[in-house]
Amino acid sequence: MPQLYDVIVRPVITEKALAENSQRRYVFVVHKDANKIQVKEAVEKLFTGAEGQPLKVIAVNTLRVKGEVKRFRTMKKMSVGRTPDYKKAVVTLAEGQSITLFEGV
Amino acid sequence: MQVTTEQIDPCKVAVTVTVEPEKVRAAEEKAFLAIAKNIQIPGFRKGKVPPQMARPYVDTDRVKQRAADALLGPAYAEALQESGVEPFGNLRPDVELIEMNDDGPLIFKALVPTRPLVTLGLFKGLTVERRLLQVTDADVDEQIDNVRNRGAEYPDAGDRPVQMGDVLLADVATILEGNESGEGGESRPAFVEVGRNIPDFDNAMVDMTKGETKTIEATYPDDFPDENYRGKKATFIVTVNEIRDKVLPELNDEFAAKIHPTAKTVEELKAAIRENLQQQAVQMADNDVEFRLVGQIVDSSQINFPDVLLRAEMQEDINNLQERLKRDKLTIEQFIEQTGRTAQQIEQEIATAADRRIRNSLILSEVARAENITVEEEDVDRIITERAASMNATPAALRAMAEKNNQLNQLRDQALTGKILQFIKDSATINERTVTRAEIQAEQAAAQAAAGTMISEEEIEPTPLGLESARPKRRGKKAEAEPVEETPVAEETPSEE
Repeated sequence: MPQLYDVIVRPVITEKALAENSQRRYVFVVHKDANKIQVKEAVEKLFTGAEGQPLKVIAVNTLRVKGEVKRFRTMKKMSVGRTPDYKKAVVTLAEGQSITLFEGV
Repeated sequence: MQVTTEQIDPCKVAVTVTVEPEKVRAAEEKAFLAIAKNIQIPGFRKGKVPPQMARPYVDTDRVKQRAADALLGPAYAEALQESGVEPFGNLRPDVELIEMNDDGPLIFKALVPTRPLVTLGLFKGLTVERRLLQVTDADVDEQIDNVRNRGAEYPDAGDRPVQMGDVLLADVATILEGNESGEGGESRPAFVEVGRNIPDFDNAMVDMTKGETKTIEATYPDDFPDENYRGKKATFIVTVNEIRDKVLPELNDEFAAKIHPTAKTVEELKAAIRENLQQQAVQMADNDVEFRLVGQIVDSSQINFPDVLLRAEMQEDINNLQERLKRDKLTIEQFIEQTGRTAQQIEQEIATAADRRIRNSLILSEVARAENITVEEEDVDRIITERAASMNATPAALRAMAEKNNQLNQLRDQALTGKILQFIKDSATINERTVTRAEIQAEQAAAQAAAGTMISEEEIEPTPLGLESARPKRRGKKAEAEPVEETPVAEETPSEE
């Protein structure tokens, strides 16, 4: 059972993930064993809205991402490795709410 | 925008401009966005990174630099309008950034070159001496000798010992006193014409035989052309490889007809050469008169011009020089070594020459303004007709060519310069005097000593045997082993006319 701070690993900051923000959807990498309820609780506790008002999460979608298989050549033979698996969660906030992922102008 | 001006010298105004902080911030923001466009972060395509994310990846100094660059141009133009300062030509001002803080205004200072100021001195009724060089029989003979030397034949003299006047193919190593281990000591193939080198050397060469190697101690005479060598001792190690007679073509009517297109006899040849030398002397005297007159006006006038003009003019000279060196496949270092002067000296010479040219041309245009001398179409026509005659072309063809190459303005300038000089000459008192070559040379030497020597094109010496490859490439240290030739005022051979 992951603790609160373990649930959210990091926000996903890519063009595609940020494009979702305008729909009030935010994408996070979360603990592999975390379920949707835990993600919802974690987001509502860890982040606050624009003027500090509490956030309300209305939906959580999760998906598991399989790590990629990477082949690499060593001195004698080919080796095979994997990048780690992880879980992504797409969190939808209630109407009119937002999260500031990075400070800036 | 705030603008203050300050006159620094007669041809330079310092314009200090303060640009409001808001404008600076706006420019910075624009610069930042432009730079952020090129930033790459994983997860984003190029140019798609949100500005807030890009902020930490962008160098603020670069943003400032770019903002300043963008601001300076328009601000400078506006400042000139506001202050009424008129810059001269297209010369770039020197711009100095004084202040650009994170939240303050942008302050910069531009040193604006303004129109040259010329206060004309005396330019009418000047007095000058026209020195016409007297052409003597000796000058004519010298010319003929040069041509004969060039047409000389060099049959193999076999195994007899060396005599005065022989031409030798020899290996010569020169070891200068005080430079025993230095450069130039290695043996190099050279042509040695016995009797045209330093006397000690020539005397020792006589009676050497083919294949013989001899070490010769010699002292440079006090009248040696390169004064660095005068009175110095040197050791030459000479190996004679081949001995050849020097047979000059006989001076007869046949020779005269061969080397000159119109002359049939020796007498006619001499007359033609004399005529040619005479023309050159007249040309030289006229040029000298113009040079002196303009010099007098320059000296009596007050001329101020912005130093950027001098720099631009010098840059042009330097470019030309580099072009020339490239053509001759020389590096700057080699050139400096060859001329035996330091880089600073050469730069100084270029500066002096450029300064002189600028002053002369400013003075001429000021005289033109003062006297309302202008160029008419017919003046240009006259120049074109003259040129055409000397180039064996029709005036119309030449004109078409000039138009095609955009040289009409240049011709117009030349026509104007000619008219101005004519005006100055017409109003001046010109005293005629006939001078001898020795007098002119003495004078030139004195002037050179006073003003420093000018960079001149290297003279090309004739190769005695026409064997280019065996000829030592460098002058300077090697010059003593080669035939040292007096450069006559008239270089052309009559046959080249």
